[in-house]
Amino acid sequence: MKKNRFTRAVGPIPALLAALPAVSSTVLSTAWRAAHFTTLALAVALLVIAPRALPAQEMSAAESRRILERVDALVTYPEDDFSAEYTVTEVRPGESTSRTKFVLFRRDRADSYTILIQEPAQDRGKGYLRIDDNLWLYDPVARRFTVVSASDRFENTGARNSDFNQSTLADDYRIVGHTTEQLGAYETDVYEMEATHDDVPFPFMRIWIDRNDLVRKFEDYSLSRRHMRTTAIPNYRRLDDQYVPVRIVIQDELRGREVDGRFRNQRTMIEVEKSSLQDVPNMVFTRTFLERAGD
Amino acid sequence: MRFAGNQSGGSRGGSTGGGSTSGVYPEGGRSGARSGGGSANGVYSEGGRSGADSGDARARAARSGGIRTGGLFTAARRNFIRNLRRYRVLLLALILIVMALTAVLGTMLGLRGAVREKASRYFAGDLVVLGYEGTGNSRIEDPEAVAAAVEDLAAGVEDAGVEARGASDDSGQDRAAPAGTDDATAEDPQRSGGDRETGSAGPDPEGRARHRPVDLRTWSRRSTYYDMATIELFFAGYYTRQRRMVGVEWELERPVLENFEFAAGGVPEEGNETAILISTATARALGIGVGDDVVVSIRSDRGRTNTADFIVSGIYIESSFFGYTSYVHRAALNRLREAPEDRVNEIGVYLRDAGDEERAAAALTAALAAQGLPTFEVMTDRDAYSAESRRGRDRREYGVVTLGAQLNEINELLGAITIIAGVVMVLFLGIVTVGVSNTWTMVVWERTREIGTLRALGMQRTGTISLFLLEALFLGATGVILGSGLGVGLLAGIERWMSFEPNAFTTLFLTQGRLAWNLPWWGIAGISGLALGASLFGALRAAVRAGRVHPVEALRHEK
Repeated sequence: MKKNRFTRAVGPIPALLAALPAVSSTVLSTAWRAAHFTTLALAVALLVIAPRALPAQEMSAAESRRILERVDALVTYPEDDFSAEYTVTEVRPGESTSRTKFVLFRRDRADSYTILIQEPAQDRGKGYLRIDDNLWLYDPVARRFTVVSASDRFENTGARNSDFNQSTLADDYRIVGHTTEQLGAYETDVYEMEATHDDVPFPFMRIWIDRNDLVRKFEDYSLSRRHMRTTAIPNYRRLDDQYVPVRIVIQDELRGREVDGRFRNQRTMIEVEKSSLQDVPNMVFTRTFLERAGD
Repeated sequence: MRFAGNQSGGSRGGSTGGGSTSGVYPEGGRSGARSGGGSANGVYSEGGRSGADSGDARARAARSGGIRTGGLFTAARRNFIRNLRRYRVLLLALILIVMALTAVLGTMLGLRGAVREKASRYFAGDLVVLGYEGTGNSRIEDPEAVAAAVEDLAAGVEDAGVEARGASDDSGQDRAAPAGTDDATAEDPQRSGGDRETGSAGPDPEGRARHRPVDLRTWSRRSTYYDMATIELFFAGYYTRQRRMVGVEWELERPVLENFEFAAGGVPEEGNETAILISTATARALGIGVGDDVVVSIRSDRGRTNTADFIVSGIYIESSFFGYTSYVHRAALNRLREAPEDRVNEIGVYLRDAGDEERAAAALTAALAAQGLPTFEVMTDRDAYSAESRRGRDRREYGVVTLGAQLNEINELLGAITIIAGVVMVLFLGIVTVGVSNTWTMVVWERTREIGTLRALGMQRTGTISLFLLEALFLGATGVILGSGLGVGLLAGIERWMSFEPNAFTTLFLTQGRLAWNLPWWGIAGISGLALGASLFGALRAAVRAGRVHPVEALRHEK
């Protein structure tokens, strides 16, 4: 019997290490690689000698919420509107690479976002509108809105529709375990979390938070505890008192191909540019906007 | 004497009017030559001989309608054979049309049969019991009651009461009526469907109403999960999506699942909860074989991403719409869905005779009502199916959906193709009818003298008409026999020697990559009726004109 060996859960560190060189090879500039390669190499050496994990610690619900609220607060903009240009690059080993460009408008105080796709050309005008817990996909060809789930894959990539919403870790998860780990250059707290409700894509999660309360990495698990994907956030940009992740790498733990005798996971790389906290007109968060923009 | 000359010349000339006379009177030709009037004897059978010598006998024969059927038949047959050269183009056209009709009908019915077989496995049976509350999702809250109704359907019992069944249940398990169900509801024909046509055969000795038992192949008790966006299968980094995951009981559905054309493996053993059956389309997308592990990911009923490992037990050949379905054990699927392990979403019935579908649906609805389950009308089209699944209800109600309803679009497509092909063939048949009409008009004109002779010898108008119609009938029958034989041969040849490259559309209709055909007796009867009808209709006008010919004028007729 042939075992599905490629789909076994892999440890967090190798996954991140596997993810970051890929980022460097395909997305990041040569300058970035030169600047960070030494750091990465040092991080590898540190990881070998550093204690891998501390014993899990008990944590109260209040403490759990306080930690996650702190994390959420850094990447949530309740006072402002947020907008940015996103480029999602889907790298399918052994196959083609696809790129989707879109503009995201987010209004966290209203729990809304609007996504307007600009590339590829055939999807131009397509859009997503989230208002509270409702999410619609607008198809400019059929001129029709359809209800989609926040848990669905975004444009068949490794990203989920919910990944573009504001961070609500405190509402969605509770911490059930804690260790610390050295993650590359970052000293991190590693939290085991489980969902507090069913409206999240993955019921279990492991999250790496650095000393600045920024999420550096997380792993998503299915209900049966299968490792589904790993996300690394190597870079943030500071906007006033908040941060914007500017580079996100998602590694699909179940999708990939063997290339040159080595298994390579399918990866989704998200670059965020031209991020802004300037006001966005109210009508952007309406169906009419998508209909007009799609014309 | 011209008349005698015609007779004798007929035996030489064949198609001349006189020659036909000789042909009509196979034995009587000579006696006719002897007696002058005896040439009619061949037609008049044994009465003819005495008639040759006795005017009384001829008169008797004439009074009694004159012609014996056997004689007419023989005469028509001989005339037909003698004039075969004249009919050959018509006959060829008729043969080709009958062959084409046979091939088209056999193919269409074969395609429909192949789709039905696949669809019945996909949709859980030829009839499926669904329980709706208004959310659009079916659930059977009392599977045992529905199972009992299925048993009643097979046994032909229409109103076996819940209490009676509970008492006679071998397992000793008492089934309670579903919540909110009362006797009044079950008795209410508007709700229960008790007044519908079920082929009732009257009460049995115990006073229970009975209907003709429905012959079942087997039945199914399934959990189904339907969400194209979230069902994903993974193997070695490869992935594919499925339209539907079906949770079955291997043993219960074995007779049907074994009809899958397996490229590898087969139906798992009873109770195997780690096995999965996938299609060749899925196996190709994953690069997977029997014995390999596959990871299945779905979004559970609670909306949570859940996964499970399965081992491929069988790969069935299917690349069409029906191929994006995986079969696992019901309990395993329910676990994956975070549903109770014994959850049943639909109970299906596989019929031996698909033509029995509507009667069986009505009978099953009545049997469900008799079990105390609130029911609604049989759903025989997709609109009704859709409306019933969404209609708000204050309790769960049960309905039967037929496979015909599920296959509305495909049936309509095949029906449209059949109708178009049928219309074209009927047009051709119309042309044949016109051809027959013209030929027979000519034949009647050429054989006017012969008609006159026959009429002079006592043949009645009806006899004359019958003679020509019988000739047309021979033409039609020959066309039917040869045409349908060639059509069946063509169908068998295509099935045996032609293999089609499977693609998403063609495999929907193919069986093992081949075009399976099906030609029931009614199909052959219908085609025969059409061809014979066209032949007879074409000859009718000329035959009637032949019947109206006055004997004296006919004998003076010159070509």
